Order: sequence, then structure tokens, then C-alpha cells
Amino acid sequence: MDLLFLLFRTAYSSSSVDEFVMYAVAGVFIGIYAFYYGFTQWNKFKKVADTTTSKVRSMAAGLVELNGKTIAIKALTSPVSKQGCVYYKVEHQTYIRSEKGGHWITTSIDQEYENFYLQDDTGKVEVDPRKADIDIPQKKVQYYGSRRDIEYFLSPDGDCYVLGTAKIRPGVRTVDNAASLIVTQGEGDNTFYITDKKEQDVQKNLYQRAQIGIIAGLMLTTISFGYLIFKFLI
Amino acid sequence: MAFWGLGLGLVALVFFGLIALVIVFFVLSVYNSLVALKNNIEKSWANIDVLLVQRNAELTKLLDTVKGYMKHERGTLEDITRLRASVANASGPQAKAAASDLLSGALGKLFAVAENYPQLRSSENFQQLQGRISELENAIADRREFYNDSVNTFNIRIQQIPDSVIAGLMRLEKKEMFKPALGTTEDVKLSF
Repeated sequence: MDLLFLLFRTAYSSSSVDEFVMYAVAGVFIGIYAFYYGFTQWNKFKKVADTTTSKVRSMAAGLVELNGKTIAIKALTSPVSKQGCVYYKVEHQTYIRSEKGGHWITTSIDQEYENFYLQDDTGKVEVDPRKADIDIPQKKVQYYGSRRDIEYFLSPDGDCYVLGTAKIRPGVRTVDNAASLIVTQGEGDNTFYITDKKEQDVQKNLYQRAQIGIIAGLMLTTISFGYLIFKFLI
Repeated sequence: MAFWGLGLGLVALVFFGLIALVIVFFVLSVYNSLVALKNNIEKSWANIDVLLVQRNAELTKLLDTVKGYMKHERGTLEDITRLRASVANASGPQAKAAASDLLSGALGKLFAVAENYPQLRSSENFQQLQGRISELENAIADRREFYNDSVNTFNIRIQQIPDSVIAGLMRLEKKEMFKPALGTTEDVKLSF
């Protein structure tokens, strides 16, 4: 309680009171957003944890979880590191200097997709990655003075985890189950997540993000709101 | 000082309001998750049934194809016809699994006996049907595994705390796995 009192008194007696108010208002909104983000990550975590992994040869139409390797149908070349890939994204950033230091801001994003196969030990199925939430770590950062490019790509022959909707391909009539399906975003359940991580790591990451989002959102909203209350009430 | 009390009260209200929101969200999340798991089991069971129906349809074609060649194997063919009907009529995972396993065993015998009929073996139609039925058998095995994984996840979840509390309120009960009944893993005796 004393610590809270000291915090608010310090903030109140600061010469830059208006700046604190601005931060506090932003804190409330950022806190609410972090809270919402935590909930969405929790929902995604539950979906990944609750969905049983299918095998390609026997998967049924509907929401499917697949684990396997990425096989390129038509390979792309990543623009920065010149690697073969099935998907890439490049964030072009510029360094902005200010009185208190500086930070990088993203000025534009380039990305390109190609359909690819996901292959497990029973077969392969086509994946259309458009509209997917593609979660891959950055692979290369290239600096050009005060600019930089951050590159992300999905490598062929790399590990691939997909949680999406298997749909029957229009016009394809075959007894081969996998050949008659394509994995994409569903209409009812629009979960579509692609990553090059293992399923256990996917679950761990989503769980951590959910925890951080909910706890940080709770703390930030409460503290920021508390500051505003004390600022204008006392 | 009264303002301080009011201020702290409002901050506490926001804090505990958010905590209450987290609890409500968590309860809803567990409820929705259990509903999804229950529906997943029903869907994966239906997906096995789809393949069993497809296999029965292919078996009809197979029996039509082989009966002209295997005139001395009437008993084998009758056994398959009988077992095919018992799969179609079985209800519940345990009964269905037992009947399906007996039929799979009988089919294995049929394909083994077919080796003694070179004309039949060289028939393109027979080869296609044999390949298709083998594919379906593999797919059924995969979907059984998928079904059992789904049941296992569900059964674990409804017994774990805190999910067990909500599962209790929803009156959810453990589901039956699709596993072979005792005796069905033994070799099938067919009359020749």
C-alpha cells in the first residue's frame, strides 16, 4: 500500500504530469489489448491441444492437425538470403532517431506464397497457405545504413505443423483420399495456423503468450487506471 | 483520506473485475473445449463408419468378381458375406471393432487363398479391388487410432482438475475406445 502511495505521489509531483497522463491513458488501452491478445492466444492453445493429429492418408474433411515436412510444388527464392522456400515475408524497416534515442519502424512488408505439400509417413496433401497465420522465426536481418530488412521464410524439406481445414477439391474425383483434399482456411472454423515448430513447442509458445498477455494486460490496465483515478481524484 | 479510500476502492474494483473476467473466460473456455472434444469423438466415429460402409461396398464388388473363379471356396465367401453383414449391424465401438476385426481377418484369408487361383490373381479387376480394400483397411486403422486418441484426450480431460468440475456439471462420462474385444485378435477359423 505504501509502495502504491509512493508511486502515485512520485508520478503526481513529476514536472511532466501531462506526459504521465498520456502514458496512463495509453496504458489502459494497451492493457486491454494485451488482455484480449492473451485470450486469443489461450483459445488457440486450447485448439492446438485439443485437436488430435491426423495422418495424411486417412484424414477427413474438416478441421485437421497435421505434422510433417514441407515439400515445394513451385519453389520461391527468398529475396534477402536467396534461399529456396515456399513462403517468405520481408519487413522493410527504417531507424527513426529522437531526443531519447531511436527505434525501428516497419515501412512496408513484402510477402509471397505458393501452395506446397505437407508430407508425413503416410502420404502428402496440398496446403494453400493464403490467409494462414504463419508463425516462423526471423531467418536473416540485412542492414543498409539506417534501413534494414528482416526476412522470414518457410523452407522446403523443413518441419511443418498445420492446423487448418481440409476441404474437398472442386472437380477432383479420385479414390486417393489425400489427393482429393486441400488444406486451407475454413468458413465456419477459420483457424488456420502454419509453423515450422514442433507441436510441443507450438503449445508451449501459445501458452506462454497467453499467460504474458493476460497477466501483463491485468497489471497494466490496473496500474494505468489507478494512476488516472488518483491523478484526477486527489 | 476519504478520496484515498475511494481511489483505492475503484482500483481494487477494476483489478478484481478483471480477475472475475479471467475466471469467467476460463470457465467458458473449458466448457467450449469439452463440447468440442465430445463432438470430435462423434465426428471421428462417423468418419470410421464412412470407411466401413465404403469397404462393404467394395466387398460386394469383390465377392461378385471372385465367385466365378473360387467355386470351391463357397464357405470362405459365405463367411465374408456373413461378417460383412455383422459389421453393418453392429452398434457401438466395441461391437463394431470386434466385427470389423473378424472381417479383416477373413479378408486376409481370402487374399491368401486367392494365391491358388492364377487366373483370378491376374484379373485386373481383382487387383484393383484388392488394392482399394487394402487402402481402406489402412485408412480404417488410422482412423481407429485417431478415434482412440480423441477418446483418450477427452477421458483424461474430464478427470483432471479443474475440468472435472465443469465436466461433472455437464454430466459428461468416459467414452469407450475402439479396441478389439478379447478373442478377436486370434486367427479366424474359416470353413473350406
